Formats: sequence, structure tokens, C-alpha cells
Amino acid sequence: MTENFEKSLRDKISQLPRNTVPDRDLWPGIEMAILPKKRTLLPRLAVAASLILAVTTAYWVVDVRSRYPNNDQLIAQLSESHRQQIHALEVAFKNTDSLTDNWQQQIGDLDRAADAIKKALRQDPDNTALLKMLTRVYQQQIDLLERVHTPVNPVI
Amino acid sequence: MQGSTDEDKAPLNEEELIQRAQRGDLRAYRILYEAYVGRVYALALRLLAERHAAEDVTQEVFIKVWKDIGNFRGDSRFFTWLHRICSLTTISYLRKQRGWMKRVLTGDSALPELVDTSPSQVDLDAYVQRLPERARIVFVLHAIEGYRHEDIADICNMAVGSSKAQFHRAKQLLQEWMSDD
Repeated sequence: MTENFEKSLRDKISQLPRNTVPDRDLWPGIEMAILPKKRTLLPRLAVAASLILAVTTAYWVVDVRSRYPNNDQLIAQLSESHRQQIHALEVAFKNTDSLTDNWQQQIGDLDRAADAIKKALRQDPDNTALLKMLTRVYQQQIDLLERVHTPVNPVI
Repeated sequence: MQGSTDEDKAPLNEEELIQRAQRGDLRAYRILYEAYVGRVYALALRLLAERHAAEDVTQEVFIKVWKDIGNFRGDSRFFTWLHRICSLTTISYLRKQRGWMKRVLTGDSALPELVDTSPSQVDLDAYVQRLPERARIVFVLHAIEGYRHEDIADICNMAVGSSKAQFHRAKQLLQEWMSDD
């Protein structure tokens, strides 16, 4: 390494700008993450929705056969209840920025998984594992909605 | 903070701003943010060589600092403390990225895309952004930001000798590229 290069490098380093302005305003995102009101209300709503779904699901899995002897009726009831839960969360998160751009696509993927399970359930109405699988997919959708709309809370 | 007093209107020094921010004054914290965002972003951009990632890390740094500012006791300059949080956050961000281990195991062979640079900084900054990741991190922290190799080894979880070797490698590459142009 030549002395000339070392000197030239030191000169160039001393001329480097120490400030660079970001292309976009970063403050709104920071403010959203640190404001207390943004961190408390929405997660509470989301947690409440999750609890309602979990309790409802547990009840269905245990008692569902006696209440809905007709399998199509059971699937329809389960799907309708889930649709209402998703709708309630979408309303709650309506004015909240999402952390990722592709969450709708992920919701769509889970929708397709649910459709496939429902199809299998119609062919195998007594398969409790499929029923549990369907409720798990629905829970994943709820979890996804919560995650992408909850401000980050990093730890150093 | 509500209302407006003579104290609010008077220019505040950094110490006062920090004390207010420690009491939860978001307006004071924003003034600190405005004062330092350019320096934090510049460091993140040099380390990451990618604008969007540097923006994300800059936001993460200021969120962390807000949460942790109560622990700042003034033993060092505020910017020194902020600078270290920025370095640690950036290294942590890089580690979380997909392919980190692959890049490390394959010896950092891939060159990042060049970030657009202004004419005044096209020389060195453009070359630094082309450096392999670990060599770039060590070069930026040691040569530009003045960290000791011992500190870099601590931040990057590498041996002191590795930090020195990466610095030597960075200088060799820079010399090669700059003499070619």
C-alpha cells in the first residue's frame, strides 16, 4: 500500500459529508411507533378478538357435532363466524398503517388453504383433525392481521 | 406537552432537550431527532449501502433511543451514545437479513449495487458502497467513524485480528479500484 494512496485516502475521508438527508420524512413512522395511545388501544382490540375466536373455536370443536349434525351447516356457521371476526378486525385497523405490503396476499393464501380444507371436510365429514386444521387456519389469519397492524416494539 | 410558555419559546440547548425528552416531551425529542437524523442516516447508509434499509434502521434507532433515553446519564456525549446505538442496530439488522450467514460463509463475494451519489461524494462513498459487507462495515467504522478495532470486534462479534484483516482488505480493494479509474 503506497504512502501516496494512504494520504489520498485520508484526504478523501476528511472530505466525506457527515450528514445525509433521507429521501422521505422518517418522523411520522417513528412517532407512530412511540406514541402510547397508538400502542395500547389497537392491540387490546386485537387480543379481545383473538380471545373471542379461541373460546368460540374450542366450544365448537368439543360440542359441534351435537349442535350441527349437518356438515355443510357446520362449515357454513364456522366460516360465517370467522368472516365476522375478520371484518371486526379490519374495521379496528382501518386507520392503522400496516408493517408489510403483502399481507392481503398472505390472507388470500390462507383463504385458499381454508377452501381446500372445507372441500376435504365435505368428503370426510367425521374427520375432527380437518376441523381443527380449519380453525387453525382461521386463527392464523387473525394472528396475521394483528401482527401487521401492531407497531414495532424493538429491544436494544 | 400542552400550552406555550416563555421557556418553550427560548432556544434550548442539547442538555435541556435531553432532560425534557427523558420526561416524555416528544416535541423536545423531535428537535433532537432533527439535529441528528442526517448523521444517523449517513452512518446507516454507509454501513448498509441501501437506501430503504438505511431508512428503516434510522427509524428503528430513534425508536430505541426514545425508549432508552431515560438510561442516558450524560457520561458520554449524546451523539457518542446515539452513534453506538446506530452501529449496533445496523449490525443487528444486517444479521437478521436473509443470506447473512451465506454471505459470511462465502466470504462476502457479492458486490452491492451502487447507490446514487452526489458529485461531491462520488469518489470515496461510491467505492465504499462496493466493498464486500464485512470489509465495508470495518472500513466505515474504523476509517470514517474512528472506532478502534477492539470496539469493532465487540460490536460485530468478531476477533480483533479479523477486524484488522477486513480493514486491510478494504484498503487493498479501494486502492485497486481507484487506481483503475
